[in-house]
Amino acid sequence: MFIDLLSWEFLLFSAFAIILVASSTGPVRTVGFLGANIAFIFALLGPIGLASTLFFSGLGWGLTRVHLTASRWAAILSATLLVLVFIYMLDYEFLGLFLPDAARLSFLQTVGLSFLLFRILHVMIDARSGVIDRIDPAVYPNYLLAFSTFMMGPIQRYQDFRDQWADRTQAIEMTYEAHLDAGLRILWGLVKVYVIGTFIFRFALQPNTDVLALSLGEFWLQLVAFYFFLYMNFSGYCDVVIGIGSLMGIRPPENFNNPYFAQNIADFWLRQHRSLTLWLTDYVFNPVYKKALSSSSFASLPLAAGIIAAMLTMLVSGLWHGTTIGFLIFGLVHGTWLAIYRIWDHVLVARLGKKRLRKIRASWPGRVVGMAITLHAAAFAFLFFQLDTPSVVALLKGLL
Amino acid sequence: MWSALFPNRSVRMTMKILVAAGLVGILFVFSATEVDFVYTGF
Repeated sequence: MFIDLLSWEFLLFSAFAIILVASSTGPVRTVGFLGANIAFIFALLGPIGLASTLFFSGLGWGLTRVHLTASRWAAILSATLLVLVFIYMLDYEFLGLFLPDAARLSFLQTVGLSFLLFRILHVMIDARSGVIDRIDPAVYPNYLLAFSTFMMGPIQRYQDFRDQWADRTQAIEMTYEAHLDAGLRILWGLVKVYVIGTFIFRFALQPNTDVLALSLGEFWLQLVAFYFFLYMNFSGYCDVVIGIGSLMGIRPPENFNNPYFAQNIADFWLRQHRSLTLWLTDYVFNPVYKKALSSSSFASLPLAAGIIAAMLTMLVSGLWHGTTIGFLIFGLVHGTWLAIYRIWDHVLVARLGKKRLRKIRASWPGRVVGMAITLHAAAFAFLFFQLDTPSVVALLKGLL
Repeated sequence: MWSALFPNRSVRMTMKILVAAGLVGILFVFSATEVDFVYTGF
């Protein structure tokens, strides 16, 4: 609409927001920042995008109130309703199986809702369990709509945002050098996005690629290039918003830690989009795993319980990433990688023992092999992340 | 990394400012580049 992510206008707006938040206090700061966030979303998404966002945020707030005061079943129902509304608003491809076209309102679809959903659900669940003692109505709207993390995260926890907003914890040291470092981080993030990322993108897999028509070499190059393009694009963005957040006094969490150095697929997800992984671990993997272990069927089968929990977690992750069949397969592929890794690890521990296995993995050949396998497994899964639905369908038909 | 390379604070700050200026220069050259963000959450 009027502003693009990481454009000059975006950076000017960020400078204005930094000055606003740093120079004001009390209600002026709260209302001023909220006004700035709403203006930003309007400039980015237009009136319908803003209306969808505000509707979903309002619904989230209302259902969170219900969730906190109602019985267990009403609480489950309120969270489920929020997820169903989210699926309807984003117009997931599979809705075509259940709903006639006339009942689908694709104009409600807007970017940023998936991050918004996970922020709302986190507050909902943690406030009910007591991890969050109180939802401050003056902080919550800005937590949901903060312009810096609205579109692409990182997924900050409410407590972290609230404590920094209230100056209980400091985003960065109050030194010139720390502020210079934040500025450098913004610039380096922009270079990753605009210079390195756009260069790599020339070689990367495109959404409409006929994969079966590629040679093995071309396929490998395009996949690996897409992997590194995505890293530069997303981690560069995160560098910029972490730098802006640091200067504003509400620094989001780190989201990347050199994922190309990951030595197994579980390690990869702790290095890539880390804030999402931690969210999924807390609210999907751990509850499912504990529930499975407490059932009589899986009580003596922790490996099977872990695999089921990992598959389900990655399925949710895939569906969260996008609305098409490609993202569903993306999640299933990652679930399969995690299952293979867990079984393989189990077999190796049984054969070699933990001590010897640790020694082999710590050796340089062990590390190089682990990194190479993980990088290629992750790059392969991104095939389904990048391809559009006709290309995914053509690929699957060709393979079957 | 910076502290290991430049233990003296004044030198380090100067180097950081020079690097920042260099990055601004690079970005100025690439200012017309258009970018799509593929990780917008859906």
